[in-house]
Amino acid sequence: MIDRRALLFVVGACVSWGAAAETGAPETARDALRLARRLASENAAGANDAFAKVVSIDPTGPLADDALVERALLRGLALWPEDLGRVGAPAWEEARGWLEGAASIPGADRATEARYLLALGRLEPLPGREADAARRAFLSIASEDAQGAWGPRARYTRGWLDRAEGADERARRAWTRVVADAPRSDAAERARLGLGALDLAAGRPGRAALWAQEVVEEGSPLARPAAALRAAALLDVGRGSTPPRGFRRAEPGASMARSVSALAAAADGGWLAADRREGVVLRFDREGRPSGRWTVEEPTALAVDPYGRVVLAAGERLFHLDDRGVRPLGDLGRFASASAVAADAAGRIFVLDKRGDRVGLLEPGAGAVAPLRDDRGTRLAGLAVIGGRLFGVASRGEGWIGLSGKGIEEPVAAVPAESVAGFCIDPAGRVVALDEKTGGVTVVSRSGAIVERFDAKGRGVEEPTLVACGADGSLALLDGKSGALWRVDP
Amino acid sequence: MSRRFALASLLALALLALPLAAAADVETADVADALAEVRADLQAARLDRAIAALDVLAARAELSESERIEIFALRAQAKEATGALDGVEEDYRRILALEPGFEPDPASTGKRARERFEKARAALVGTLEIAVDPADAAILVDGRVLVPGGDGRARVLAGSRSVRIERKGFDPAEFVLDVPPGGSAPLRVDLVPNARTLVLRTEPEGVEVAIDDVVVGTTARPDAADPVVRATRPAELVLEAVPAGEHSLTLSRPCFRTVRIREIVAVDVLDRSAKVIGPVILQAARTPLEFREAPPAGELRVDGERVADFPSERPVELCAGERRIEVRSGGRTIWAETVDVPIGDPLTLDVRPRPNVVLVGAGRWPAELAALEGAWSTIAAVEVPAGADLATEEGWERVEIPVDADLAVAVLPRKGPAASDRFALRSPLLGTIAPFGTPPDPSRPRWTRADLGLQVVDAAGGGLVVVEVRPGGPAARASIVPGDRVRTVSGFAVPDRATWTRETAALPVGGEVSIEFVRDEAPQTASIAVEEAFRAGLVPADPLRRAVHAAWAAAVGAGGATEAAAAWIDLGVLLEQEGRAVPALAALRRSVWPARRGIGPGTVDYLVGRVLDAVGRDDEAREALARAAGSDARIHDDDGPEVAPAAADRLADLGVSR
Repeated sequence: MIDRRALLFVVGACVSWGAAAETGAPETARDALRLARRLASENAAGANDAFAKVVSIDPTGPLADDALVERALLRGLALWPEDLGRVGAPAWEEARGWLEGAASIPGADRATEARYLLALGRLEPLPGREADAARRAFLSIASEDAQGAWGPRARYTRGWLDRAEGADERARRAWTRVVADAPRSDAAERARLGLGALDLAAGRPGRAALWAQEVVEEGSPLARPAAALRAAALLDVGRGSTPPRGFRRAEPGASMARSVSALAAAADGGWLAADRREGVVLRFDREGRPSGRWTVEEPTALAVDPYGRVVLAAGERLFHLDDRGVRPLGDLGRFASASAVAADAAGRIFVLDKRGDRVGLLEPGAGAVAPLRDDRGTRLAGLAVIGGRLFGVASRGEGWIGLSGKGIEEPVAAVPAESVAGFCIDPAGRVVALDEKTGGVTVVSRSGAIVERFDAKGRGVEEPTLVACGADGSLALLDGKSGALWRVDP
Repeated sequence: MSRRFALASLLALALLALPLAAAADVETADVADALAEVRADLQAARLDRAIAALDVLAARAELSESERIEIFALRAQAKEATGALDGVEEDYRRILALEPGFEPDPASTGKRARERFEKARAALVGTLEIAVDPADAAILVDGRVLVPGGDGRARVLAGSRSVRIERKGFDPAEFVLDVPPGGSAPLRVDLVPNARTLVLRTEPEGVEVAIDDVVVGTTARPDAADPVVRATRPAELVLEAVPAGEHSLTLSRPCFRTVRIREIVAVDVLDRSAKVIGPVILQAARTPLEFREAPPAGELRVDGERVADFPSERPVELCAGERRIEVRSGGRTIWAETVDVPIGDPLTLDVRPRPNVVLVGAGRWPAELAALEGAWSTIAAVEVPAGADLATEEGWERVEIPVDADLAVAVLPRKGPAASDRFALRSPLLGTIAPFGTPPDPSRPRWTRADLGLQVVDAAGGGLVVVEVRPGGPAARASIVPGDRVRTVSGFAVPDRATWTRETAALPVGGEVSIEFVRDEAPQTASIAVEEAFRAGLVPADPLRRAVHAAWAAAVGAGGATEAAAAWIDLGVLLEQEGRAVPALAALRRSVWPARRGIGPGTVDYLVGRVLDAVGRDDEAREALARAAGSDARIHDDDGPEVAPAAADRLADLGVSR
């Protein structure tokens, strides 16, 4: 039996503790948040619990929103759309709950930030992606916080979403508005870069170069992609009056066996090559020097998605390759030994079968590639996603075609080549096609204009078999005979 | 004691107490009131009571001489009525000792009293017979002023008398005279002059005259009924009794050269006429005013008076000396300074618009802020109201800032030796307060830049590549094309865009510049005209710089010069960002542009639409934004972002699709 005096003591102690907690909560929470931030800055394991404690001390207090938002950020959430694709579904779901909590605290000073992060999270290339809800949220934030930091960011991201969905004019409007209304914001810097990309794609390389130059002069982390864009734009400025592109054979260490099946440009400006026979995916820096490798059996196709993630088709499965290793995404099934892969901003992965006739699709979260279209006899040389839409280039005949449903549709432009061995899309959105019979490289615009044409064989590449497009307008060519990697300057 | 005796004794005591009580009153009563009562007593023949009161009055020490004489005269009158003639004579003696020239009032003086008066006078008073040159000299007898009658005679106390004769401009004379009682003592005095009257005549009138650096008056034209006569007579100033010797006369008048005269004043005993100097002709002293650049349209004020309108056909001249010069345009002062105008050489001023600043809490600019003082127009210095905290909006609301003020600089109380924020910059335009320790850059923003009609970027391998050539622009006319690689500007190497920007920014608009470039690996040269491009709508973020920028924008906007329209845009944007929609719209609507490429009417439409959108005036916003969306205008710079896409995006927010 409980002693009566002991019970009275416990009740009294609880009452007095409650009173103390009530009066001292803000101070205690402040100290706890300070500790949590310190731990977070050191990537310490206890940071997550420390932020949780801040919320438990004063769940609706002035620091609760800080703790919730910062706890969510510990999960590696993206701050900009370009950074999406780095969190998995469980981490996002956890973070989402905290962000919703922060956004719902009345008068929370980080509520807008939480709403922005929530909206951005809805764009993660994960199952259940909610692009429409995200768009509505960005519109709302941009309107409500026009003078703050999050309004321009929301408007910028809305433009990014437009661009990813192929609505270039809407993206231009959004980004121009960001630059006009918040010219000194971080969002404006990204908007300038985006406008540069749009102008380059729209055939205004001079204006594209100027946008990029402005970003380069800011000296921010965006200076590197801006310099690449400027280089790509300059390739088109005064084309014809500039000297021919330089061809450089990469270091001997970059020489590969003739079994290389795929070549792609990495997000960091380097290159990726999949060697089917060796069962390895090799990484090279921008000059072609080896910088890393993944071991995967029977790699056949390679792509880099809009977030810089490496997608690999190897044997009967699809994988993501990153610094942590090789992560399986799903089964290829009938698309085993795929000849090409491509990925869009929504996280969807398109797969071309080994004959180049059928296209499959792996939706985020799905376990296996499902058939998307069957164009027997088309013999596509590869796949590419441009503005949220899927394109391919036929090895013979039909040229550059849009592929958004069943059957061949929407021919874009002819690609003059006897046999297209491979192609890539350059920063201006043009097809760079490699003719395996002639060794010629042809750059074709959407209007079908041949922008550039050169003979790779004549420049020392004995048997060009693969081509990849760098963000700065440079090209990589694989010499199938010598196994050498060639870099073609922008 | 019987009851009757007791009553009688009480009555007698009361009667005895009455005069005692009256005497006590007279000791303290007002003299005039007491004398009026005495006169009433005399008329009512209450002689004892009157004499008793006069005795008490005469004993009072604070009486004036005239009061004392009147008391004695009344008492003599009362005593005459009582028959106490010795007492009468005694009172007359007292009177004559005070005023030898006294004459009793015949109406109230009886014969016997008169006789006693004559007797007393014969014993006490004699006559001074005095003749003085000059006749208006002052005569003092025993230190008291004596005014003789028309015959030069004056009664004085008999005996040895000290006499002094004095007049300004003459040496004084002193004598001791023995005046016999009832007799006469003659005295003739000719004073010796020691100064002279000067009459100083000048042309023009109104000349201030100083003798030995002491201002003594201003010359004026003598009064004359005929204005023509009056105008032709020289102005003059009469200087009385200027001491003999050498004197410095300084003649000065604003806008005339000051004249200094050395004058020796001599005295002639026989000729006492005034010495006439002049007329002295003062030469006009006006300084031509020149301007470093053509002044903005407006008016010129000197010392508060409007003296010229700009543009002015005739040359502007200023009076030499310290002058407050103001240029007004657009309904406000756009330039002001107190200038020490020299005589002779032209004075060159740069009166381009600049901010008006008020100094708060200091009478003069602290040394740390000397750069600000020189860059802006200081229009006032005001004190800090007691208890006003100038770090707060409430504190500033108590400071009276003139309407034309664009900025107020407050000198804050020093909180410690290391106090870094010693000053505060208040923007009346933006309603902001920014404390500072290090002064902000006060220099004028530039709303224009040199324009060659081409754009360059850095090439990856070094060098500059032309990426845009504006059709019809200077570079296009010089056959520059995209892809050309620029090597030099005016002979100076331009290895990168930063150098290019620096070198071209300073190019004089209207001239030409030589460019060396490479095309198809062949070096070439072109001469490109330098035109003017505008910048507007990109404003600073720092609070101090924002306040300064707004001040310049307001001044330059009011000045109405080439950059005014751009300046109004900047002011509008700054006001918009501070949430001041109404003044923002007013500023933006003052930004008037001709139809032109780059920044222009479409830019203003966009910004106006933006403000209207923010305040919920949707219909008006739609109209303005629709115009902007249909324009090819740009913002921030003539080569900056187009406003049309941004306007279209805003229109979409307002439900308008394009």
